[in-house]
Amino acid sequence: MPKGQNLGEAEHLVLLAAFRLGADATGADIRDEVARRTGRDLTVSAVYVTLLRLERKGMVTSELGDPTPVRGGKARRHFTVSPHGVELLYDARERFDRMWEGLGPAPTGDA
Amino acid sequence: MSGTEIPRLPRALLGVLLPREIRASAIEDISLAYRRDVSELGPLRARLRLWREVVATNWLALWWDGGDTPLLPRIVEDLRQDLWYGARQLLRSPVFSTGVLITLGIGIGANTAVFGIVRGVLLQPLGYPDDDRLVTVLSEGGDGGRGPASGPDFADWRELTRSFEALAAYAPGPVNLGGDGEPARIVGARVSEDMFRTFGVQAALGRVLIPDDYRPRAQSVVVVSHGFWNRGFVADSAVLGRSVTLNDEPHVVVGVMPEGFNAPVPWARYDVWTALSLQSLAEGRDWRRLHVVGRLRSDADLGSAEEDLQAIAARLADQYPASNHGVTTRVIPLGEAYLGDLRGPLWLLGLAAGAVLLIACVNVAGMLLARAVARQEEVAMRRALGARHGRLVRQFLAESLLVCLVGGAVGIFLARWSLSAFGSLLASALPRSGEIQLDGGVLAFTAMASLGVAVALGLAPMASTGFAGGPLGADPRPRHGRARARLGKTFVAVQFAMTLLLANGAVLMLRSYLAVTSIELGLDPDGVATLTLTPEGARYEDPRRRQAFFSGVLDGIRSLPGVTAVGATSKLPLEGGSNTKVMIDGREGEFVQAQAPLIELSRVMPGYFETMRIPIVSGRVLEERDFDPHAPGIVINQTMARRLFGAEAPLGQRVSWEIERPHWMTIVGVVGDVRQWGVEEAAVPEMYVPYSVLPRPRMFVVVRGEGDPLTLIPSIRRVVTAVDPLLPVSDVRTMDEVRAGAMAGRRFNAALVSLLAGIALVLVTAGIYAVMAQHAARRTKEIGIRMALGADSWDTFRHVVTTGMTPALLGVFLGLGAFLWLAPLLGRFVFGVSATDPFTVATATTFVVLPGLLACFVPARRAARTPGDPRARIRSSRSEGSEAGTEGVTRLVIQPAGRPRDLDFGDEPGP
Repeated sequence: MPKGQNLGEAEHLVLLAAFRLGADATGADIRDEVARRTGRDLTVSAVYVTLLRLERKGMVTSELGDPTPVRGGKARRHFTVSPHGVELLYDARERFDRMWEGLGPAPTGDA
Repeated sequence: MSGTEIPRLPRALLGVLLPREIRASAIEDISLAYRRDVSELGPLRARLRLWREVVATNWLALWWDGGDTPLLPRIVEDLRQDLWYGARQLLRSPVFSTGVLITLGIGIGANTAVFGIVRGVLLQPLGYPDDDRLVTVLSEGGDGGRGPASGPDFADWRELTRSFEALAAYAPGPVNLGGDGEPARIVGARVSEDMFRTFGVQAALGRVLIPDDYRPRAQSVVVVSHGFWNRGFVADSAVLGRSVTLNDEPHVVVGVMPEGFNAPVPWARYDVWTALSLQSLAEGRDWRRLHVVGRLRSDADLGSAEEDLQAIAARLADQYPASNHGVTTRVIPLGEAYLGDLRGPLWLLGLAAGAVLLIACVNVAGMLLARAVARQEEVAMRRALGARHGRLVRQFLAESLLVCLVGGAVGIFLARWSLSAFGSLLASALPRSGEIQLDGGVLAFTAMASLGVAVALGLAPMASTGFAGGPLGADPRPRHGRARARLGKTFVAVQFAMTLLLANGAVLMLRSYLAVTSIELGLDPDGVATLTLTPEGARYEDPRRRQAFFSGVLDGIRSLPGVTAVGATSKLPLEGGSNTKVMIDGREGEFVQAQAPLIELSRVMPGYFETMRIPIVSGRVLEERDFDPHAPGIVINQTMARRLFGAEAPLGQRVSWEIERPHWMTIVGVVGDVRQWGVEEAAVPEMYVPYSVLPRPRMFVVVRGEGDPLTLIPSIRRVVTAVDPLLPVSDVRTMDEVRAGAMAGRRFNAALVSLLAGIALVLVTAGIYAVMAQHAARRTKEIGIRMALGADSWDTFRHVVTTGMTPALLGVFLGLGAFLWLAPLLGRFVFGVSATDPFTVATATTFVVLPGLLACFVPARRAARTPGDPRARIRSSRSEGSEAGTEGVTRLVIQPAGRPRDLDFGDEPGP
């Protein structure tokens, strides 16, 4: 893997959430997805800045969508994981799987 | 705003914090989430969640790796650009920049130096653990005098008090250092057991003094200071156990104190500490010679400790009425006791320095203001090209920041230079002068002062011009001209007010100093040298040997060529003394201890009065026959004669300080009063007794010679060595130096306040000259019109001078008011002159107004004399304005009726 293509934890979570949501996820959708699945309550700003960073690294692409259908609503940016991003996600998963191989379930508290 | 709109403040903050590319989308998402939260969770919790968005996001981490215009690097880059641009602007006008930098440097430098002094002397802690609990305990007599305590009183306090963790006594005393090298006099203190525990400091090497060292017949031991260890033992770590000869007695070195330990008196530079003998603690209760320091227990405070000791003192007064009647105690924080008197003068100095900085700031603000006007076209251009208001504000702030930082650096340089230039004056006038240095704290102060000045200076021109650029090409003359003129006048008034205040202070200090120097001391110090000899230790235990030593030395000196008179005294004039109370023969019944006046007691050797040229008023001076210790004759001063004997003739009367078994001494002469306790302290009753009556070791030998008395010192040293080769000669000075030392505080005040006032005067004069020159140049056009309309040179001259001097005089009146208001405070620092003395005020006012007038005259004359056609003047205004840095003056519109629209006539009536 080229240098600078490592995923930080927040990046990993955000990228994975965007991948799960498929095309055209907004920052708020991604935040909700992360919160629902992991309980991590990221701020919208943190999600957006992370997405911006991922976009710079070529892992997601974005485009402006239609304005929000409320009074004064503005267009929001929609994010899609790029093929490169998908590849990195699977690479990361494979590495983690290999690291977990042969390890049992989490030990209980009274062990 | 509807209830579901995102509130303005968090929105604005997010707008600043979020990178540009995602800003709109993110805020939109946050708004949607906020609306949802308002409907689901209620407005309060929705707001909390919104604020969490602002507060809980790790912005720093995001900026460094986030958007392409992260805020922090952007600020740094903008600042860098602004500073670079500012530097180029400053380099472009070197005269202006130099003026500004020097002015600021002087202002900041004066404050840095004064703050360094105040911090070193007053603010720096004494450096002992919990030093806020260290106190000094003074014995206060029934006559109000405060001072040391007697040995038995101290022993009783120590035994009975419950307020102190430790209470210790010490007797300061230089000692004779003998041994292999040349004999020397070193600084020592004899201290009681708890001295080191009181200060909470352990030895760096070996141990401090312990109770065993105080037992009768214990081996004599000494603890040495770090400095003495370095000098005397070349920092040899095997010093412990070595022997040092002090006052002819071998002492074993048992400990070396850590560097910087200087107790009990924080600036004394002690060399050695030895054990205070039990004998000192058993002296008479009326011999009050021990200084007492203590460490308060954690549950005691000053008030309770003082109450405690006063109760003990009251019991002692009942028990020993002869010595302790009316004697009580005072407990004073240690720092306060040693430095309290300096607080007033040093804060006064701080205020004076602050005034100089204010004047410097106002001066620079005036210059920047003029420049801001000159730069209006530039501002207009930049606005037209899209620069936002905030950007321009930042630009101006960055420029003033640059100016102030460089000014601060100049100031630090000036402060360093002035502290070393005034080093000897500081050392003579202030204790702890060794602590004065420009350390981190002082530099932080300078940095803060510079930043504060930078903000004030950066904002001042903007506040006045308001960037009144408008669209490019429109009349760039400030719409705020009137306001700016008013601000300029306020500046002038403030400067003059402050300068007048300073000048008054300076004249007062100078006059006080002159008053002090002209005081009659009661003796003639010119041509007199003094040195100290202290024959003590085993060889001089017998008082007759001391007397023989002094007689031998004085006889030897008397026979030296060039010596016209020689004598000796136990206390030099001006340097304090010791006192007692006396009973008069035949009037024993009238003697009441508490009411008897304190009498200064000096022990003298023959020749003292002749050497000092103290005049004889009646009777005669002491002669050989008066030195018979069984029937001594004494000499008293006029004040004592008046206080004790009134109209009665004092000659032939007998007095005694021994109350129970009187030892009568006959008064054989009355001499003139001498100021014993300082130049400014009036003479007190004093008696001069023969050395033989009380032959204590230390004496000051005084020698009057032809010409410079110090040239006699080498031969005097040879005389002393001939009498006793082991005895050191110390403290060689002239009486003029003694006098100068006694006036050092005054000289210090006068010198520094005058210096600051002088600086202020130069700054203000230069400032008003610059303002007036610019004013005249800017008004070339107006003056031209005035002359075209019939005004002559005199009118023009008068007009320029009046315009300049009106705010100046207003400032002078304000300054006078402020001075009169402060006068009661200043009264505490002056001597021999009233704080509101009309002559002082008149002198100071003249000093301030005259240069101001002169500064106005020159530009006014130039304006009035410029030859030529008024029309040419009007036409030339643009170019002249440009020269003066006021390109703003570009168009002239003369309207047929009323006042020309864009002529700034200020508050003057129209032509």
